[in-house]
Formats: sequence, C-alpha cells, structure tokens
Amino acid sequence: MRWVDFKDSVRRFWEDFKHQKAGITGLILLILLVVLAIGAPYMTSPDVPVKWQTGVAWITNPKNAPPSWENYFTSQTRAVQAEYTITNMHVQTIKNGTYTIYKLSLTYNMKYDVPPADIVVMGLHSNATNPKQVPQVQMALVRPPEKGVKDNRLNLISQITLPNNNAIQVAHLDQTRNHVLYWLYLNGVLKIPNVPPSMITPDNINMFVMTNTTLYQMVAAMDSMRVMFGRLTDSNGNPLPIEKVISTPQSLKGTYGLVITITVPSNVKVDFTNFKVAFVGRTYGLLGTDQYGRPIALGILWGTRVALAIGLAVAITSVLIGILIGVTSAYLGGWADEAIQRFTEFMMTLPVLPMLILLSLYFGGRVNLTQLVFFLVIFGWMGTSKVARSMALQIKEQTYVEAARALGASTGRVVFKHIVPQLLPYAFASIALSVPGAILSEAGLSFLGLTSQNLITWGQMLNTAHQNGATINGYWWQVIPPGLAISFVGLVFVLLGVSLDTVLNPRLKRA
Amino acid sequence: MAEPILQVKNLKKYFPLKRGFLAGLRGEPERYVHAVDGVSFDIYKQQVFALVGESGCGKSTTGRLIVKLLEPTDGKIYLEGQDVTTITTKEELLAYKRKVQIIFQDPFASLNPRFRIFDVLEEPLLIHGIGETRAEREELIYKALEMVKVTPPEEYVSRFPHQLSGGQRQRVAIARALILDPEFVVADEPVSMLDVSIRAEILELMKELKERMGVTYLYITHDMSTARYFADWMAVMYLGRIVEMGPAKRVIDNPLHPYTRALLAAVPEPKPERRNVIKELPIKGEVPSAVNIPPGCRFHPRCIYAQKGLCDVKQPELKEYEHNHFAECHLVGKF
Amino acid sequence: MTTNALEVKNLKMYYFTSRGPVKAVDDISFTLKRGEVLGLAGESGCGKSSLGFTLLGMPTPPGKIIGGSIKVDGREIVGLPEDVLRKEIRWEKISMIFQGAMNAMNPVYTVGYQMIEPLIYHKGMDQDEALERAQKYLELVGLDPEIVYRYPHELSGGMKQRVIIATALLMEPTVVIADEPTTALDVIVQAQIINLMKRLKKELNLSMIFITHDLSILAEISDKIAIMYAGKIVELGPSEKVYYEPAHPYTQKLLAAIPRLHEDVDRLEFIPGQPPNLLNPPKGCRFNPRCPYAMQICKEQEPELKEVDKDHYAACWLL
Ligand SMILES: Nc1ncnc2c1ncn2[C@@H]1O[C@H](COP(=O)(O)OP(=O)(O)OP(=O)(O)O)[C@@H](O)[C@H]1O
Ligand SMILES: Nc1ncnc2c1ncn2[C@@H]1O[C@H](COP(=O)(O)OP(=O)(O)OP(=O)(O)O)[C@@H](O)[C@H]1O
Ligand code: SF4
Ligand code: SF4
Ligand SMILES: [Mg+2]
Ligand SMILES: [Mg+2]
Repeated sequence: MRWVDFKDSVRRFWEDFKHQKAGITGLILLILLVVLAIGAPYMTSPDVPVKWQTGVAWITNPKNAPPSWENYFTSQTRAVQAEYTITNMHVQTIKNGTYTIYKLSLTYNMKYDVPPADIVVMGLHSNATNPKQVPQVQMALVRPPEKGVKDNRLNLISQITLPNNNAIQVAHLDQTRNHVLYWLYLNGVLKIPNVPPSMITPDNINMFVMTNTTLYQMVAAMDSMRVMFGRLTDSNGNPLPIEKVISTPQSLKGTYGLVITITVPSNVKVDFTNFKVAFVGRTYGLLGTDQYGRPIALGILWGTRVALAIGLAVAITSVLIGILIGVTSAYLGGWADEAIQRFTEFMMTLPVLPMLILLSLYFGGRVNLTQLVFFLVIFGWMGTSKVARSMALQIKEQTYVEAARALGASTGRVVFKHIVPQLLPYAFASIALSVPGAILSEAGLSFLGLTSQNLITWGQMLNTAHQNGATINGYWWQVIPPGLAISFVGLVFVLLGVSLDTVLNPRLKRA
Repeated sequence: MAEPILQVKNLKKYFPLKRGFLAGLRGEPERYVHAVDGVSFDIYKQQVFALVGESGCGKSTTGRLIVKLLEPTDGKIYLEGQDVTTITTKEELLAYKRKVQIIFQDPFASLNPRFRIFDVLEEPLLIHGIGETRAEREELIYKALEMVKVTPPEEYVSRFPHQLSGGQRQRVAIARALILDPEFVVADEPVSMLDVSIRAEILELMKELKERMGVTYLYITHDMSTARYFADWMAVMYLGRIVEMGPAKRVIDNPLHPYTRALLAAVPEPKPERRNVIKELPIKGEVPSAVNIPPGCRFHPRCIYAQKGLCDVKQPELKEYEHNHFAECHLVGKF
Repeated sequence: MTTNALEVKNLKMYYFTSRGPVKAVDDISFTLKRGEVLGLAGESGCGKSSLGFTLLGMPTPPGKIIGGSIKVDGREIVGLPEDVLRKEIRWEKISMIFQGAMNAMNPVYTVGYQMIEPLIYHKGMDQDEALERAQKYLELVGLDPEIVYRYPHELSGGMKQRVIIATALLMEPTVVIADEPTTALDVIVQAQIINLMKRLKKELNLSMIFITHDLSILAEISDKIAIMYAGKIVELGPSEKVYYEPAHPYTQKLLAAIPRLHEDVDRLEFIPGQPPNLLNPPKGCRFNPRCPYAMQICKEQEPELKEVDKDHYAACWLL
C-alpha cells in the first residue's frame, strides 16, 4: 500500500468513525486516561510511587477518612485536611546567647462540627549531633474567645524533643491530654473536690482524676482534639457539665491560633524547608484515604498508568501474537497447523493462575511490570489465535479470495489485503475485551502479593482495602473507586471496540 | 477453422478424500473424488463454449483448473498453443492470469465486503502494475464501469458491494474480470443466482462485451436454455467426463447421448396446456458419488438403454457421430 | 356448489420495522378451488414468501396482518387466537413447504423424529400412530418408509425435498403452500419433484399455491397464475391466458426474458432497473419507473385489478 492510499483510507475511516457517538465518547475518554496517566508525575510529584510504600510519608493524613465532599450529605460537617508550611506561618526568631528560639504562629479557621483528628508537626531538620542539642518544641493553642472562659490560651505541649525525621502527633500525647484536663479544671468544668487548687498541676491532674472511677472512664475515652476545639460554657458563660464537654463535645467554631516554639542551642542550625503542620482532617480530599492514610484519589490517578500500560501492552501484544500464530497456522495447513493447534490447546489447558503464581515465585516472588506483561501475554494469546485461525480458514475459502487469486494476487496480498483487514475489527474488539481482563489478572496477582510493590495499581488498592475489611467497615471509598476505575477503563475500550467494529465492518453499518 | 485459443487435453483432477488419522495408520488406501476425469475440448476465438451438467459433475473444477486456481492431477491445458500446465515462474503465471479470467456464480460472495467498488476494480490493476498513478487507474476503473453500464461511475466507486443490487454486483464482477482485457473468460454460472428479469440483462451484456472486446468464454451452467441462447458450442458433463459435445443448437435439437436426452426432457417448458401431463424422464436412480465411479460406461446404472455385458464393462469413447458432434456412448443411434 | 379451498380478500400484511412499515403484502385477493394449483411468481423480494406465511396466519415478526380476510375451507382465520390456529388450522387445513426447508433439517435427529415431532407435541398423537402416518406419506411421495430411521445427511437433495413434502401432507390439509420447492435442485430432480406434485394434486385432490420466481416451472403445474410485483398482484388468470396473452407489461417482460430451449431468440428482453424498496414504493403504479409504457397517470394513480377476459385480471392503466 502506498502512502497516499494509506492516508486516503485513514481519512475515509475517520469520515465514518466520526459519526459514531459511542466511539467518539470512547476516544475522548481514552485520551483523558492517557493524559492522566502521562500527567500523573507532573500533576503530583514523581516520587509518589516511592512514598506510597512507606508509612511515614502519609503520617499527616487521616486514616480511613471518607472524601471531604461527604460533608454536603451529612448533618455534621467534619474537619477537612489542612496543612501549613513555613511560608504560611508567622516566624519570630529570638536569640538569647545560648539558645535560638523560633516562635512560629499560624491561624486555623475551625468551621466544622467535628474538629480535626490530630495536629501533626513534622519535617524539622537540624544539624544537631548530640541528643541534647535536638530542638525542643512547645506548643499552645489560642482559642477564639468564649464567654465564661478565663484563659483562651491552652498549652498543648510544654516540652518535647523533635529529632530529624520524627513527627509529633498531638492527639496521642499524654502531655496534651493532661494539659487539656488541667485547662478544664481551671475553667471549672472538671471539678476536683477537697483538693486545694495549688496542689494541682498539669502533671499530676491525672492522678486526681483516677480517684473517681466514672470520671476516669470518661477521660479514658476522651478525644482530646474534640475537647480542645470544643465549647466549655453555654451561651450564658456558665460551665457546661463535664460529661457534655468530654463525651459529647460541641465544637467551638472560629479562628484558632497555634503557637509553636522551637528552642535550639544557638550553634545548631534548623532547616524549615520541609517543616509542616497538619490539622489532620476527619475527611480527606476527593476520595478519602486508606488505612495508611494514603489518598485514594492519588492512587487512582497513578493506577491509571499501570492499568493502561499493562492493559494495552498485554492486550495488543497477545492479540497480535494470537493473530500472527492463528493466521500462520491457517495458512501453513497440514502438519504445521496440526502442531500449532495442539500446542495452543496445551497452553489453553494450563491453569493460568497457578502457573502465574509459580512463575512469579520462580522469578523471586515479586514480579515487575515487564515480567508481568510477559507472563500475561504467555497465557493470553490462545483464544485470539483460535478464533483468528478459524476466521482465516473461513476467509481463505471465500469466493472473493479465490477471485483475488485468479487475478494473480500473491499470498502476501491475500493475507494482508483480504484476511488481516477482516480480522481487524475482531482484533480491536478482542483488544478491547482483553484490556479489562489483563487488569483483572494483575489485580489477582497483586491480591496474592506477587507483584512488585513499587507499582501503584488498582488491584493492589483493592487488595489493601480487602485486608482492611473495607466492605465490613463501610469504607466504600476504598473499594468503589478502584473498582469503578477498572470498569471505566473496560467501558472505554468496549465503546472504542464496538465502534471500530461498526466502522470497519460495513455490514453492521446502518445504510 | 482457425486455431483454437484454448485446448484442454485429457484433463484430470482427483481430490483426496479426508481420511481419518487412524485409517491412515492402518494403511487403508487413499480414496479420491474423481471430480474431473479425462476431459478434452477445444475452444475457438470469440466463441462461447458452454459446459452443462448437474451439480457436482465437475464443471467448476474444470473452470478452476483452466484459470489455474487448481493444479491438474493429469492432462494438459494449452492457451494459444502454449502448454500452461508447466508454468513455474511467477512472471509467467501473472502473465497467464492477465489473459485468463473468471467470473463467479455468487456476485455477493465474490466481492470482498470491505472493499469499495473502487478497491475491487483497482485490485487487478495493482496486482499487474497497470496505471502509474491513482488518477490513471481511476480513469481505467471509470471506463470499466461504464463498459458494464454501472453508470455514472462516480456515484458507485465509493460504495460497498452491499449497497448495490445483485445485478449491479455481478456487473462489477464482470468489470473486474474484463479490466485486464483478458482473452479468455471462465464464467462459472454467472447468472444462476440472479432473478430471471436480470439474467437476460447480464447475458446480453456479456454477449455485447464478447463482440466489443473479442473475448472467448467458457460458460459454465446447469441451464440448457441459457446455454442454447448464449453459447456456440456445448459440452455435457456427467461424473467428471464429457459425454456429449457439439454445436449448442445441434446438441439440444438432436441429442445423441441418453443423459443429454434426460437432461433436456427435464427442462421445464413454458407450455401450460401440458400441465396435467406427467413427464416421462428417460433416466432412473440418482447420481452416484464421484468417489466410486461405476465401471464401464459411468452412466450405465442410470441409463434406461444400458446393455448388460457391454455398458457395464467397457468404457465408451468420445466419438464424432455428426460433423463436430461427439458423444460417448456405445449405442448412439441404436435407441 | 362446493366451498372454495381458499378465499383471500384484500389481505394486507406489513412488517413494522424501525424504519417504517414494509408493505410486503398489500391488498391481495384471490380464490383457490379444490384440486387447483395457483402459481405465484415474481422477482425476489416482491413478497411471495411473506404472502405464504401470512396465509398460514403466522407472519414473521415484526409483520402484522392489518386487514383483509383469509377463508380456509370457508372458515375465517384472520383474528383467530394463536392456539386455535395451531390446533385446528395449521397443518390440518393449510400447510407449507418452506423455502430452503430441506437444508434446514436438524442433522442430529432421524428423519422420522423430525416429521412426527409436531404431530406429537401439537396434535397430541401417540408416537406409533404418528410414525405409521409418516411412513404412509413417505411411501406416497415415492420414498422407502424405512427412511424414518435415517439421518438427513444420508439423503440426497431430492430425497430430502420429498421428506419435506411428505411432512406437509401429514395432516391431510386442504391447501399446501409450496415456497420455491425446487429452486436448489438439479433439473432432473426438479422435474421429478414437479411430477410428484402433479401426481399428488390428482390423487389427493390437493389445492396448492406454488411459489417460484421461475415462470417456466409455473407453467408445468399451475392452473392459475398470479404475478406479484412489489407486494401486489398485478396479473391473475388461467395459465394459458397469462402465458399466451399476458396483459400486464410486467408479465410480458418477464415472459420475454426467459430463453427458450427449442426456439432461437435474437435478443432476450429484460427489465431495466430493480424492484422498488417496499418501505416507500413508488406512487401510482408501482411498476412505473421500469415500465416502457408508463404514462402520466401511472405516476399518480394506482391501477386496480380489471377483468380483461373471463377470469383474467390485470392492474394496468393501459387496459
Ligand atoms: N476443493 C475440493 N476438495 C474436495 N472435493 C472437491 C473440491 N472441489 C470440488 N470437489 C468435489 O468435486 C466434485 C465436482 O465439483 P464441482 O464444484 O466441480 O461441481 P460443479 O459441476 O461445479 O457443481 P455445481 O453445479 O454444484 O457447482 C464434487 O463432488 C465436489 O464435491
Ligand atoms: N421479517 C421481516 N422484517 C422486515 N422485512 C421483511 C421481513 N421478511 C421479509 N421482509 C421484506 O419483505 C419483502 C418481501 O420479502 P419476501 O421474503 O416475502 O420476498 P420473496 O418474494 O419471497 O423473495 P425471494 O424470492 O427472495 O424469496 C422484502 O423486501 C423483504 O426485505
Ligand atoms: S454406453 Fe450404454 S449405458 Fe452408457 S449411455 Fe450409452 S447406452 Fe447408456
Ligand atoms: S399502469 Fe402504467 S406503469 Fe403500470 S404497468 Fe401499466 S402502463 Fe406500465
Ligand atoms: Mg459449480
Ligand atoms: Mg421467498
């Protein structure tokens, strides 16, 4: 075929194809998928696949949090993830000879019925060599004024060290809990009778609480975050009963301040570039998070890459190989055909999953992308080859092939002008159908933990969700998006496949 | 008379029967379908030679052998005096195929459903490297369509076969065969799938093209009436052999072979006044399989004149009984 | 006076397709006496098979009878519920030899089983009785009764067609519709089948509708001939009249298109163009785009069937 003819047939194909609504939809969606897949590193960051596997990267994220937009459908709004870097903070540096003190302050608008789940401070880097020189952190929350509350400044941490690569998770600190209790005591909410106030400090308040069993149980179940962002008084400024404040806290909406004081010996340098303060949401982003705090949306986005790569690579390769083998077999005929057919049948009788498991184990238990594609192709070409062979045999007997041969057409011409084009719609349809199959096979292997973990795949996400009991716990956002993503890719390819078939197969075309 | 353009001499084609794997192992003899079993005839320039006979008698196989879609088991084919059964090189084969073309029975099956009419007609040009540019080929294609009266050509070139009527499809198939300007065309039942009203039109067209382009036809049919109308010569085939051959009108008006007589008696006549008469059919039984050919005269199990001891043992030969009128029967003129 | 075997009046059956109604049977009337054969001819797609199915009261979906009457042995069958049709009419009163039925036989059942299955399921006959009946009719069509135990692939084309004919006769119907019963057969077998049908007509006093596109076959057997064009009967009359004095231009053309075995014809006539699409047939006379005599009126008004001679009708403005 010459270039002009090729251009011409592409043009004619496009003339026909552009009238196919389903096909155009499929094409647009496919382009979208490709853009997402290629754009993922630029839209997010290229190190996502590395971070994905390490728990610490997601420490600032809530675990198992539903998507933020769930707030529109629930009666109570829940805090959305909020993160601050040094550029969002007001920094005051005080040097007093032996120490340098950094006073970082930021404001947080708490407008939710359910306040953040945690406050995480991390990413502080210092060149301290000796444990004694490690930065010391103090933290206080400045609440909006509330009637009847004497002091709206609440200490959260009186002192804690923050070595490199460590994080402070406020919600889990005893220190913070004690400060919160003490503050409740100061504001007359928590009552400790028969003890002179001068005897009570944040450090020992817990001891007094323990003497009262009901109170102690209540405190043990307390969510300090909800209390520190909660109301202490009623609208008249009278202290609320302790049960209400601790067990069914009502959030105090308004602008909060967070003051973090970092003290280091003056010879130590601190680097704030990666410093981060997160108000860990009760909900997260577009699609929530999994049990490690990894954003589902990020996983879906990155999963597109692997899905398309595996799906297309496996489908195209195995269909092409299948057609090649099938047509060759049909054309050779005789004992060659016989041998190829018996081999194909042998391959078909092999149980795929056990074979894949064996192969994966043989190749080290964790197979990478190329190996996976290779394995899936090995077990994916037979169906196409069988159909291609029988179609080729049938076409070979058609009168128009005889007519072409009578005109003097060579075998090559018959194969490439008459047989292969007939197989094209079938090839496209089977590529379309193999894509979801390949993705599912990958998911199956991932489920068994046999794929390389530096891939982000929808299969692995489903696997994670399964291990997390997502279905039992109602974490729908961990199951439905990857599931839908797989079906969506399937749909896109079916739309394309069906329309290609319609266009390339004139008998289906509406006159 | 001039030299014949095509000569067929003792042509044979046996198809091996598919034998089971086990049968092969047990060493059972291979069996054959004797599709064409010793056929000889000459065809003269610009004449129409009809090959008639019942289904399975080997008409199409003969046609396919001539266009070299099949290789003969034995026998020779000469085109303009040249032996074509020994052609070996690709160039010679292509040159031969340019001179000898075929038109098939089913006009739908013989056109690739995904080829537009343009592609259908361009295929022979591309194969034989005719027409340098697309424009040149387009001109040839338009001319061919005009020749077969699929007009205006520009309206049809971009259609698919299924967008044409049966008659138009067959015209396109004819155009494809004639675009190479062949000398000899095998027309294998070109009208039997078409409606009566269209048949006549296609036959007229083929006749006209014969005059205009000087082609010679081998017209394969099972229909005696169209053979008489269209052909100059006629051969009747039975079980792979020609049993009678001669000028078409002679064969029909004065059949010599009992099988020809039976065939002619069976042709429906448009004579309604004879509708209640049960027709005498001078034949018995059914066509035997081409695998087990009866000994002697292969027609003898069905022949009502068969003579025991003669017809069932001795194979008759094709002999000239009238001028140019041959028959293969021991008892011509004796019944 | 005896009742007619079949009386059809103004019968209309359209296929209601997504692109509009296909007027495959459009206002058809004729009568068929006992022991008479009506030949129905016309080009492919003109509605011959559709008419056959309609007469059986079972147009293929999406076809619906939208008007007219069909009286079999005096009994109106249009509007009868399906179960009555199946129990009392179909095969009992009127049966059909379907186009291509001989190639549609199921290869995994014996011939006998295929013949008697409907008798057992629809008519509640017991197996022995049904088998006996099948054998009786196989003998009548000239086959060995033992054929009931054979499989279709063991039979030749002619034998299969005989089986199909015997099957249509099993319930001793008054009318048999034979849809292209000889089309796929070789000339000799075709002649044998036609001989068989002539004999059946005489011996059983059978009424038949013989459908074919080949006018010369019709002459072999029909008493009356109806020429169909685009869903309508354009000419109807005794065979001799239609053959020797065709009134309608279409019939004339059709007859002139047949090559004759023993006559020399210089040029065959043919009808240019192709039959109309029944989704929107031409206005006026449906034949007008192909008719050499078409006049202005032909393009505007539809001609009605007119009696041109005794019992000979044609629908043309020329008459
Ligand atoms: N490729 C083949 N392989 C095996 N047998 C064949 C092949 N082609 C034809 N035959 C057999 O050869 C015999 C002659 O076939 P052929 O097609 O020549 O008959 P025909 O006279 O053209 O019949 P028809 O009128 O049905 O076309 C038949 O018995 C057929 O089954
Ligand atoms: N089930 C159906 N749905 C829609 N249209 C149909 C259906 N069956 C037949 N037709 C149309 O009705 C018309 C008449 O068809 P029918 O089969 O009756 O023709 P026919 O005269 O028997 O042709 P043939 O000689 O090819 O058998 C045709 O145009 C056909 O396309
Ligand atoms: S040779 Fe004998 S059997 Fe053969 S056709 Fe002549 S008479 Fe009949
Ligand atoms: S009515 Fe007119 S168009 Fe129709 S057949 Fe008669 S003359 Fe021709
Ligand atoms: Mg043939
Ligand atoms: Mg029909």
